[in-house]
This record gives sequence, structure tokens and C-alpha cells, in this order.
Amino acid sequence: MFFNIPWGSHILIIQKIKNTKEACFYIEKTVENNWSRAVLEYQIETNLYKRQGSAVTNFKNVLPEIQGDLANSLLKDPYHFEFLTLSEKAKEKDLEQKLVQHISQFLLELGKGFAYMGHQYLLKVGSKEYRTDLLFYHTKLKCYIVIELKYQEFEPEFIGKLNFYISAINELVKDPNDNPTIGILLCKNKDNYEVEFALKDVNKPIGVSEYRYTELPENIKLGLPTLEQLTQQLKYIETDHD
Amino acid sequence: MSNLVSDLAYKNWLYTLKENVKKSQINASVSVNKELIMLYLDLGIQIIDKQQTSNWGSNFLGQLSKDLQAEFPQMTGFSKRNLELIRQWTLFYFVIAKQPVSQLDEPNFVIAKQPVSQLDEPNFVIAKQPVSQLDEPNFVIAKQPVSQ
Repeated sequence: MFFNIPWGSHILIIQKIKNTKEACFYIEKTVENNWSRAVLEYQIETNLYKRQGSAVTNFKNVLPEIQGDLANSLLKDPYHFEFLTLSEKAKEKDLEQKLVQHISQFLLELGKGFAYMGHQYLLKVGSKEYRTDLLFYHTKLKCYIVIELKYQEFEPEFIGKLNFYISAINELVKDPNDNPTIGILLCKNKDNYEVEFALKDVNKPIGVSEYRYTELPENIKLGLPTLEQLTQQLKYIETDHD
Repeated sequence: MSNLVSDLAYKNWLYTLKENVKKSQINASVSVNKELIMLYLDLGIQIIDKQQTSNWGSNFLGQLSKDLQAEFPQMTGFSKRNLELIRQWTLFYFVIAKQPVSQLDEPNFVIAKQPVSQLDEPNFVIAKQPVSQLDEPNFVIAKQPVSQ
């Protein structure tokens, strides 16, 4: 019986009752009589325990009946719902993890010079900490490549974030002899994929430009997977989940 | 098709089917509730144990709440307030003793619990009152029978 009353009723009992024997009485009565939380509260307020006395009841194996209020309470218990429901946020996080692993593996196997630096790579900017999804160093292009993965539809703020990471890595991580950092943003949402590249524009004193794949300088293109390869990977992950 | 709805045999059958669905729903929700309450009890016992034996200080519930809610954001059951209630509730119904049963002179029955949580040595959980129906696989009844 202890496990057959809703958490809400358990809380009510320990908040109102200071004696364990009395508390157990109410647990039993709840199940025997199929009380909802409201009815239980009423019975406690009117001191059923004192009125009925602490008569030892028959500890039958009683389960909530179909018709009772307790049954309805259990069916509608919000604690159950949230206990069992995988929230949208958790689902997204899960999928992003898979995306990260998949893309990492793909790039390493590509054989174009991607060297893995880390997942959730820590960047300390001022007093705050940030983590990039993936950081690689490209041994042929001699630059860092930071990758942001989103299992969501493209939002402009993602590019902003990517640019921020590129600047941070340029300032804090890269060696003066390294070439400017390149950023890649991969967004995947159901049937849509978005691939964006970003790197420091040599013509601008500060700031980073976004490029579509076709606009990238040739030498950089050579070091990266083709657009087809990247979208193929994103597509591939989708069928994994169907 | 004649008016099936007025056919008595059909009505009776339909009634029993509806009752079956409701029974199933109740069984399912009772199971879910049981899982949740057992989870809370186990959590309560572990929290109490860590407060006594770890060097994390006694205020790690705030951090724990934050971390659990990051993983399970939709669960209000992991709010700091609720974790405190879980702890209070566990202490209310149970005493966690680490001595063998025979050395305690509790007038009530004793439930010896195999390490449900990752506590190192064998633990005994003593219910202050007959809690009844604790015939879960996690519990081994050491002394008197709990109930039928």
C-alpha cells in the first residue's frame, strides 16, 4: 500500500501528521476507500484517526478500484506524466549527441587531415565558460576548425555563436603561425539541412564572413568534405532514427 | 446492420470491454506510481547516507537538484524542495541502521534490504510501523511477516 498512493498524498500526510502510526493509518485508508488527495485532506482535517481510533485493520492486499477517486488521481497524476515523458529538450540533446559522434567519425575517416581536438571543448572568455560542439585541427590547412551542430532548423543566432567561437579561438587558442580558424555550422531538422561556413575575411579588419560552400577559396575547399558529402552524412543520420 | 446499440448481448459485451480497458489503465498507472515511489525511497535512503558519510557537506541537495533537473528538465520531482521532502519522508517512515538486526530492540518488524543503492556494507532498513505490502524484489523480510 505504501507504494500505491500518489506522491501528492504522501506529501500531504507527512506535512500534516507527526506520528508514524497515524500516518500509516491514513495511507491504508486512502487505498481501502479510494480517496483522492482532497478527500484525504478532509479526513485528516476532521481527524478521522481520533474518531475511528487506531483500530487494527485487516491488511488486505488492496489495490485501487476502477471506479474510485484514487484511481482517477493515479491516472491523472502529473508526477507520472513528467516521470515518463521524454521532454522535447532531452530528445534534442540526445539527437545532438548522436550527430556529434557521427560527424566526428565521418571527418576523421575522410582522410583530408582533420585531427580531433575535442568535443565540448572549453573556451574561457572573460569570466564565462563556453563549450564548442567539436573542435578539429586541420593538418593540411594548418588551421582550427570549429563545428557547431544543431538538431534544429537554422536560426541566425547560430551563425552569431559560431562567429563568436571563431574569434575566441583565433584570439585564445590558435598559434600565430596557424591560419585563421574556419567554422562550420550544420543544422538538421527533419527534412531540412543547412550547412554554413564561416571564416575570417581577410578584407575586413575585424569580423567574420559567412560563406556558402561554393564561395569558399579553392584551397580551403580541397581540405574540406564536399557539400554533397556533408549533406549525405546529415541525411544518413536521419534514416538512423526512423 | 440492425440497431446493434440496443442489442442486449452487444451492450453487455461492450460494457465488459470498457471495464477491461479501465482495469488495464489502472494497472498501468499503479505500476508507474509504484516505480516512482520506489525510486523516491531509494533516492531518499541514498541522500541520507551521503549526508552522513560523504565529505560533500550537508547542502549538496541544491547541486543535486540542479544536475538532475538538467538531465530531466520536465521532472518537478527533482526540485530542491521536493528532494528535501523526499528526505524528510524517508526519515519519517524508515530508520537506516547499519547494525545486525539482532542488536536492535525495535518492537516493530524489520525489513532487511539488500543493497538497492550502491551502499557498501549490508544495510537494514527498519520501518517504524507495519508499512505493509513491501513484497518488492528489492526487499527481503528479515523478521516478522509484513502483511499477507
